[in-house]
Amino acid sequence: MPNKDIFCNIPWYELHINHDGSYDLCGCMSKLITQTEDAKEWNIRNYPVAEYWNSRRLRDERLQKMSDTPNPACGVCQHQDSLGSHSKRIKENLKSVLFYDRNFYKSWEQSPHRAAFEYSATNDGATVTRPVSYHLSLGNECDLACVMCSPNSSYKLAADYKALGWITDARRLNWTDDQTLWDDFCSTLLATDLVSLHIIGGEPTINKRFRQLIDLFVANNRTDFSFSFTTNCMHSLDDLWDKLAKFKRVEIGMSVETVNHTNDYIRYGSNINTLLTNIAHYRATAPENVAFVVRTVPTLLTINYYSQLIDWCLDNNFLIDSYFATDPVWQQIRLLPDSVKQHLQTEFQNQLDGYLALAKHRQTGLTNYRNQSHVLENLTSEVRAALASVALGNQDPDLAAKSVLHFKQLDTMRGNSVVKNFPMLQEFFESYGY
Amino acid sequence: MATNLQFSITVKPIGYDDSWPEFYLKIDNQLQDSGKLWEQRTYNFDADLEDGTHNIVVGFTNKTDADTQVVDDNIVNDKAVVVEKISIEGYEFEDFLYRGVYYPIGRWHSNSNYLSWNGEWSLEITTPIFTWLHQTQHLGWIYEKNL
Repeated sequence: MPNKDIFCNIPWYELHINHDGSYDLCGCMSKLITQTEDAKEWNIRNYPVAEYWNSRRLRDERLQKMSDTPNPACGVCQHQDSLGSHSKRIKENLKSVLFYDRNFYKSWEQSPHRAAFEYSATNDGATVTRPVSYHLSLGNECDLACVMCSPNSSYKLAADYKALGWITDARRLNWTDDQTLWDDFCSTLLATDLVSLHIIGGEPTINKRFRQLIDLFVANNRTDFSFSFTTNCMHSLDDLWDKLAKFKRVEIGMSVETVNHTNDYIRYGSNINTLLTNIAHYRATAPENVAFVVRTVPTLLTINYYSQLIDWCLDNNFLIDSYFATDPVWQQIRLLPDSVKQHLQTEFQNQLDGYLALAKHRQTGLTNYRNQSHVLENLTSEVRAALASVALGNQDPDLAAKSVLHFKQLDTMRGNSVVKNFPMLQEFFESYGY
Repeated sequence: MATNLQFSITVKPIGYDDSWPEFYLKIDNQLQDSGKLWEQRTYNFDADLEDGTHNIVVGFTNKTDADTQVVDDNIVNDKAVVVEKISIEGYEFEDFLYRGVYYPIGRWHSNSNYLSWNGEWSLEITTPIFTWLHQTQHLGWIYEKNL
């Protein structure tokens, strides 16, 4: 029987393709292999999907998921789990009827997929399952340069990183520019019993392949699956509604970090007023099959306004899907001084007390945190995770110094000021020479 | 395949003087307890259930018209059984109570957990139980078995 803290069904059902066409195990890896030597090998240019699916790399990953040894590359979920948040691993396991609580092992025994998992364990990681869920990046074009993003996901941010000497290469990485490769991949998708397809950034809505893909599915009457994408909310979606209405279900992940002017500092190139106006317009005009979720990456900066964001989500009935920052490591919340953390602990504890009071008469127990009728439970869990994220200690002064230096360099180049945006951190930044 | 499942069921009597309900509790045809119910009781037990459909049944057997005492159009005393709580594998969803169906003898059935007349209240469950819990509690979609 696998380890409940390690097992994840993703290698049996989901395929992830990075901006440069490299395959990754999922979108929640601590370090994607984009632009590494591994990316040259494990790439859709070398391996069609069917061939990659039972490749040595994925077979090893399945064996590891059945073992007691965690994969260090799965750090994002491990961090989420440590905060008591709802990691992707936990959410995906539910699709195999694997419960995340005390009943993991009993549910394992009854899982409809247990035979498939055990087949892999006794057949060197090979599987009889097929990839039916895709996580897909169409490329790294993005019109924003968010401070906590990866330069592999935004060539604007990559250009800034390169100008600062933090990386040596900044270029367009769109594997989808290769027409033959793209056509072959589209054929693969059309021949797949798709259950879900999620498009990640760059910013999908400015990538020409995004609309082509939607048109392809609609034209082929292949819309009986869950289609989702994440957007920076700076663009109109009006032209998409009629097409998206044809899908079984659509989920739009809206990237928002704070609901005040500091969002413009974090999501550099955006405008909070435009963003909030667009969100209101999306909700007012979207067809009924479209659901919305707020996607966040709490960092040492945004955690200071996170309670405000959570309250805003409650007011607007939005679920949150968060990934507390693990990378870049220099933006991790743990770097904050204890004085700031203590203040935040009080703030989140008060918020938690309020949310628990609101939930007093609600049913407790197992919850699907993606269920729209469980917004309060979702947000309560988010407050708990935020509270756990500001545990005292573990600051790492060397990394804190690096963090301050990086923000100083970035601010100098952008003519910006982190301490003006986050005055509660002025002492922290100045103590490290900002 | 038989699976051992843990149940916890709480029943509460409504009664007065010497007028208290006779009841029984069964899983399918397996009697767990029966008799006069004087006070709220919680039954914790386990059962080995084969894959398929099963029923948790609470029966109420000894009510007569005389048990309902009315003064000035108000019921001042009555006899009844209330299915108060149900927990399956440690999950105590309120939904279980209203998912059950009450079949009073000679009257219309309903989704009430308040047994005001002789009859049976029955909650149908299916095993594998975690798939049933997943589906009834709307925990999202499940990959098809043979993908």
